[in-house]
Amino acid sequence: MALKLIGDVSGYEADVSADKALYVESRGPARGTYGAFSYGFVSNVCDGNMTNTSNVFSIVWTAPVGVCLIYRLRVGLQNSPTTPYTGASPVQMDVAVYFARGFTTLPPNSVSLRVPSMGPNMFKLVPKSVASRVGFLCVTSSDDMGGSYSADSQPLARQSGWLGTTAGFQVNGGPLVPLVDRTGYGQYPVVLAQNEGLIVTNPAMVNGSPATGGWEYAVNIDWVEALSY
Amino acid sequence: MAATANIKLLGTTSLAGADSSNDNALFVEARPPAMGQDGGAFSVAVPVSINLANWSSWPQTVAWFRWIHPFRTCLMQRVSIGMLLDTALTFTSGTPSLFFEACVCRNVLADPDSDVAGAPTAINLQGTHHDQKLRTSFSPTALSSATNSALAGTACVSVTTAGTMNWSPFNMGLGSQGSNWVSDIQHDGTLAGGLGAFDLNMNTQAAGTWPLGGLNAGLFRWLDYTGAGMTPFQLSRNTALSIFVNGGVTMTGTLQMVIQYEWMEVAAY
Repeated sequence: MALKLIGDVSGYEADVSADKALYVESRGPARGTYGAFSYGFVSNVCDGNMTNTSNVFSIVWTAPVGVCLIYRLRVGLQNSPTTPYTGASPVQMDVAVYFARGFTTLPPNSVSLRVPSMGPNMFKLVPKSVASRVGFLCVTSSDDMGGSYSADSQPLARQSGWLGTTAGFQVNGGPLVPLVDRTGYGQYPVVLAQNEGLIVTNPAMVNGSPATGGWEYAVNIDWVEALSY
Repeated sequence: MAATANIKLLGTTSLAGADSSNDNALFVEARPPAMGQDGGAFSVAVPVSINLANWSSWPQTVAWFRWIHPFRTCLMQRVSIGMLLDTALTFTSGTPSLFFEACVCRNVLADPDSDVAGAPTAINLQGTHHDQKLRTSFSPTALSSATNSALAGTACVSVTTAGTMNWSPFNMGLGSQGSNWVSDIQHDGTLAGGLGAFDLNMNTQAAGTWPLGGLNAGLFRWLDYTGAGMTPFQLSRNTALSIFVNGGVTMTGTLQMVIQYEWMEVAAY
């Protein structure tokens, strides 16, 4: 196929409609037989057992080969529609995302965690791709999910919000807000190597943790797995 | 270049094309800027709790990002701001509005003094070798070159519990270097412009309110150069980005502010 370029030898712009153009389609990263994935889930109803700085979500890449390219991580937080927090005043519930490096122990798979079953076709955006190599993915509804790792001292991003006292109150004014969004043109994705991950925490409850009632987290994440990048 | 690159097209050599769109398109992979030696991509977000009663003189600097590395270029791709009222904002007097402005300062040869009232708190990127990297194999950010302070820039956000800050593009405590820097804008204390600017209502608002609005207001992507074809804001040596507020309002309340920087460090651009 002959390459067709926009513009002619004189430097004037060519008539694109006459097909004097090289059609270049921008694509996602080369991934070979690896795949692109997306997943969203909601936690069980959280309660007063969850304290400040608890981890509420974690994704860990454990594969010895390949990398995990995280392009977007969105978080939602709402007062439970069924068993809401109904205290006298709202409480602050921020969410922050940290890069966690050097996992030596994965979080335990306890009853308070929602860990999706890693079936062969889980999360796939490309049906023919191989199964996801993500080693751990969960959202918790109780206290700190645990695990051993070294998190950065500052978050990659942080959102501030208040948990209102009405059932179904959406903390950030909408169902999902982006904590990580590396989908802009020219943006480098978050790249996870072996035993690295992202954790989402609730870093501050300025007015204290709600003693009664509950709230729910929703986490949606979009990533690509590739042999190299 | 020693290696020979082969251009591979998705489709056949016939004009009919093999792909469903019959476009014979050349598929290329979208990539971020080439980084060269010691490059990297980084992100950091820092919350500060601001006692609004301390915003009593104008303007006030709330964030500061200074680049001094001589060889790398900093590509600031996005600066976002989040705001939430921890306690109710009570308007007292004046005009209930604030201008938030981003100012580029060049030839900045020193950081704000650390011994002035309400001194800024530097973002601590030196806690571990890998802080804020989006990929562990990157070199450390030039903002955390603890082993060579001559190359280390700074990123600061304000803390105002100690009172009025004495540093801003207009009144920075820059010690003996204080008179050398120049701003892109002519500042007379009443300006309303810069690299970016927006106006914000500072009338009485309840606790738990987002002054920046409701839906998805957690982080307002203010200085955002990630659109297709956009050129990121480039900081060369001794260039600083200052975010400050200007206005004449007197108020009380506590504002939690989050400043997020997303940037790349490249050899050239």
